[in-house]
Amino acid sequence: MSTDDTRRDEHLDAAGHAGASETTAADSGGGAVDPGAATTAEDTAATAPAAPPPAAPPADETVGNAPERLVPEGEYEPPEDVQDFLINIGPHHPGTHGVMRLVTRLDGERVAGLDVRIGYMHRSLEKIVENRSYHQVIAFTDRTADYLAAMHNDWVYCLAAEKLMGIAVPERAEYLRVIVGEMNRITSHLMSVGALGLDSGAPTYFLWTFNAREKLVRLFEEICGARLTYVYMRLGGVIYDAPPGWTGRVRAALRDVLDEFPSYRNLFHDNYIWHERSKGVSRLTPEEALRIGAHGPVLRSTGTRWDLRRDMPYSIYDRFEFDIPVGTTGDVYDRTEVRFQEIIESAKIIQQAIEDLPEGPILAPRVPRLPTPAPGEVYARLESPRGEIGCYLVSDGSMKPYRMKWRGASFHNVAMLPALSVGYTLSDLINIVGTIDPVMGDVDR
Amino acid sequence: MNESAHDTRSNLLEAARRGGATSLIGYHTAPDGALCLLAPRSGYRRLAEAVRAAGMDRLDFLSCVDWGHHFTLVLQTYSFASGLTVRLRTQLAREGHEVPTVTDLWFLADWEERETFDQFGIVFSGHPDLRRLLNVESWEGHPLRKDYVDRVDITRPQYF
Repeated sequence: MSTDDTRRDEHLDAAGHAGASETTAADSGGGAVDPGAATTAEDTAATAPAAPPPAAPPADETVGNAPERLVPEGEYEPPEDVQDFLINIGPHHPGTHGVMRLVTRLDGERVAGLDVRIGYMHRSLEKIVENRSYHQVIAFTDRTADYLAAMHNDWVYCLAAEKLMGIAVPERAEYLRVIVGEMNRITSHLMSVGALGLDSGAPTYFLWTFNAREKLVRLFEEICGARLTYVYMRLGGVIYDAPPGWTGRVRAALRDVLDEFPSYRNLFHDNYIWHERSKGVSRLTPEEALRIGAHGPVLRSTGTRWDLRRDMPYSIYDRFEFDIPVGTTGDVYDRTEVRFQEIIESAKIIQQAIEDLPEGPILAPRVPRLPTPAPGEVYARLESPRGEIGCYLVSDGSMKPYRMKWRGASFHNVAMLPALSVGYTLSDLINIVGTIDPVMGDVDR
Repeated sequence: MNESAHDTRSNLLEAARRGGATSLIGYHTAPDGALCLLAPRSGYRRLAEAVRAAGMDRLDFLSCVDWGHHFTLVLQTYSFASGLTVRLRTQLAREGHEVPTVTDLWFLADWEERETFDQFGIVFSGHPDLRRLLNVESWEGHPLRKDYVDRVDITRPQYF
């Protein structure tokens, strides 16, 4: 054996030891975290994205007596019930739909407590826009907030800013906003129900809905050149008119999407396995939903017929005929079903809007390049695919927003996650996270 | 404004006035239709309770505006039943002032208060779990304050 080979062997040996000690350290670290106790600075720093395990004990001491070593002495009092333990999900986990960390306290297989840690993708949208002009903010709202429903984010910002400046939006622009907004609701819901299939072990369904979503995304590309971050709505209207024949292609695409629905039902929604996994899981009563501040599809799945499009109409939603699908029990099955039905209702709204689409300008005249609204404050809210979003704008009379507060739908949905998931099993937790449909960009902003 | 919103508004104002100047300094209707109430810091909690009792069951947001010499805490709610929006405000000094928590009145105020604590450094007394929410625990300063200076050297990441 040459010298080189010996060195390599030594190296391998060392690596083997290091590997063993790392595993043990990760175990003991997992057992020692107490979600109830206030987190110290060291704890969070140590569990930041890379999550390096705490200092590992020497490898030779831990080999063979790992079970005793799981809980370091003197640091953590193990509970009387030995089945009660902690498991960490995330920040990188397919079930969290982004970078979110769920420190889950388990009793057997049931979730006994949940500590949600967020902020891994925090970009401080609210600070950024304080240094931008009112027009420039739009590019940030659709990237930094809910990127799966970028149209709605731009829309709510435009609603707030237009209220602040007293801009009247032309009719044609309002109709185009409704059309693209509802199309975006469909793409977002298709993504949501498809991802739920992915979470519960039906990846085929995700590919099918993604395929259907692609048909509408192509139409977004035609009208504004972008597939995800549109920057299509501007202060006073929309920036591009519909290209020739676009409305006809929207109709055809909607027909294609709706034609697929029976096969979606066969594959997933009427599937026995999905019923077993979803019915009765994370039940929510209307009173409890009201107490925890549920909104959007989560609220409607409990049977409460509340939709800002109908109950506090913004834009021109009072002109359209559409139903508000509701569930009965508020469980995982109902939440998915509500989203699924909302796609059909959105398609109805788009059909009506295309029929009534008037001719005319698409952008309000004389919107200043550098608006300086009078000092004041304004709030606008609308119904995004994930629930109610809002934008609170404060102006001090300068050309930049003095303060913007973003009310993200996903932020509030994730905040109510512990209330929805405690008492259900760990495998259900992944589905529950899927049904509140979090977009981490909107949570962390 | 519909009839029930009008009733809710007058009932709320009556309840708020009952506390005198210790719970309500002034009110007006904002251009966007919201009823804006200004409470002194000592009466913030009492007025929040009155707002909640008047049926404002939905929390829109709870946040803060840094006006340089003071903070304005803004709490906005609306009612399912009447559709009335109420924006409750109170003024705080930049340092040393605490406000009572409203987490027991609105469930979602929990995270909103944590975020406001994180971004502005406002301490909510009685909050069950007042930790930073969006920034890491070791972060220095409160980023949404107007006088915040970012000292992070992005060429040498130290938070990862």
